[in-house]
Amino acid sequence: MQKRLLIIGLTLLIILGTTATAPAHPHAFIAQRTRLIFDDKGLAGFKVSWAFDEMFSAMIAEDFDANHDGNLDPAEVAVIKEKAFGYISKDQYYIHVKIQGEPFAVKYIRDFDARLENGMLFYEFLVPCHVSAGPKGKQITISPYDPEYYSALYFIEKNPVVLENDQDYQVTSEIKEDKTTSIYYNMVHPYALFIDFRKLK
Amino acid sequence: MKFSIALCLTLVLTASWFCLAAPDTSLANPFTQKSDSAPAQVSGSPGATSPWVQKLIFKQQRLRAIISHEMRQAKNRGTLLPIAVALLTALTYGILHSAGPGHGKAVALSYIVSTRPGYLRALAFGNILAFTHGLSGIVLVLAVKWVLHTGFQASLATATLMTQRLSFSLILGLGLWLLFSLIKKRVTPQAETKENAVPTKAPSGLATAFFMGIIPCPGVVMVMLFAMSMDMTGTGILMALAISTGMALTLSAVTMAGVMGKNTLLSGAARFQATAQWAELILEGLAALALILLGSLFLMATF
Repeated sequence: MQKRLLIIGLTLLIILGTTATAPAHPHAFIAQRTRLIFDDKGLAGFKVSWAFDEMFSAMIAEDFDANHDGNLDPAEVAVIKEKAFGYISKDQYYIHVKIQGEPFAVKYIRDFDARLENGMLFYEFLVPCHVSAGPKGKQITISPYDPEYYSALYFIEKNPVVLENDQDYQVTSEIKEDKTTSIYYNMVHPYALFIDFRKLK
Repeated sequence: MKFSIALCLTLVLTASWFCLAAPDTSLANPFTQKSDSAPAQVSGSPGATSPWVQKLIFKQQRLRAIISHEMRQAKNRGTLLPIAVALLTALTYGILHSAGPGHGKAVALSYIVSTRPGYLRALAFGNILAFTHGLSGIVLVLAVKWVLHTGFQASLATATLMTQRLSFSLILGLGLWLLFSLIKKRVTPQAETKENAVPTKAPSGLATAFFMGIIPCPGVVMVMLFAMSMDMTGTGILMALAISTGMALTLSAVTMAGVMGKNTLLSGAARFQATAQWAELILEGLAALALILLGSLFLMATF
């Protein structure tokens, strides 16, 4: 009898433990590619490219590809920027940056563009973020995450980081979990891009 | 020993209500809706993260990609095999998707613990809740596309808000009704002994499950829209039903576990009649209070 009770109890513990801590609620999945752009002073900013999963893409296309031709013309992109992107500005466009360990608030972005390719939705935008370089290394962390966890953001597998105009700099980068931040009811550490760069010579 | 296990189960159940009780604010699409009220789920502390949580989220992403890929294959090739693969994948996606916070598990568990529904009724409760959640998504998409011809995001937002308010009001009402019944049972003389005790019966338990499930499932809505974008409405409905079946499996497991836990607790205390009565009363009272708390919190979050 005691054994039976123990088995039932353990089963219940496992089921409830599983359901209490299991993930499973993002509704959109976004793969990010980050293009780090340098100028003669150091880092000038970075361009973020998002590829949405096909199902979320279909939902956005349903309303915002007004003529349903499978492409987004400039007028449709303008509407998307206002009505299917601008609202996330309150969450820093899901781009959370730290410079030398200190938070840098992403208050505005530039050069927003959206396109549909074979039913997949892509967003691109530039985050201005000037960090001067010297002989000593500068550390920047870029962590893409949605604090409400409607969307799960992750780095794209193939070429997640692209460098532009970096010939005068030594740049190293690594993608790993940011252990200093927890999201989704403390269940997940978001992935982050850790960058270290310094001026050559 | 038995009672210790039962006590542990009670604590686990109580803790689980609150762990599972996150309001489903993530139903609102933050890309298309201005929202100032959704709570940020971010902590600066390391937190008690689970190493397999991230993997399961990736798994869901992968499953969704397989469903869309196989549906495209079915469209391009005109064969049935990709649809079969997509259906199985959608079933798995439904199981995983509904295992996280939301989807009515906390409320279902509270309801089950606060009444004596039996295994069959608990099973029916989980199934009705899941299928209503999925079917309301199907109906919403078809209504918007074929009848209303309105903007989809606005319609989804309106329908979600209306059904949330209705559903959460009913949860609150149900909690109050159960608490009132419990108090009434305690003050009625014939209910003082176990032999004469009348089990707390909720008003139309299965109808309650129906009204709790009427908030459209965003996962189902997305698969429907994706299918319809390829002129595959019938296939979309099949996929939505497969996701609903997966959700039903998860919710049924939760409701059955609720019944099992309650029975275990009460059988552990059965040899002490007075203890058993108090254990049942405390358990049912806690569950009724949990429903009141959840209903109030969820309802307030919609304003």
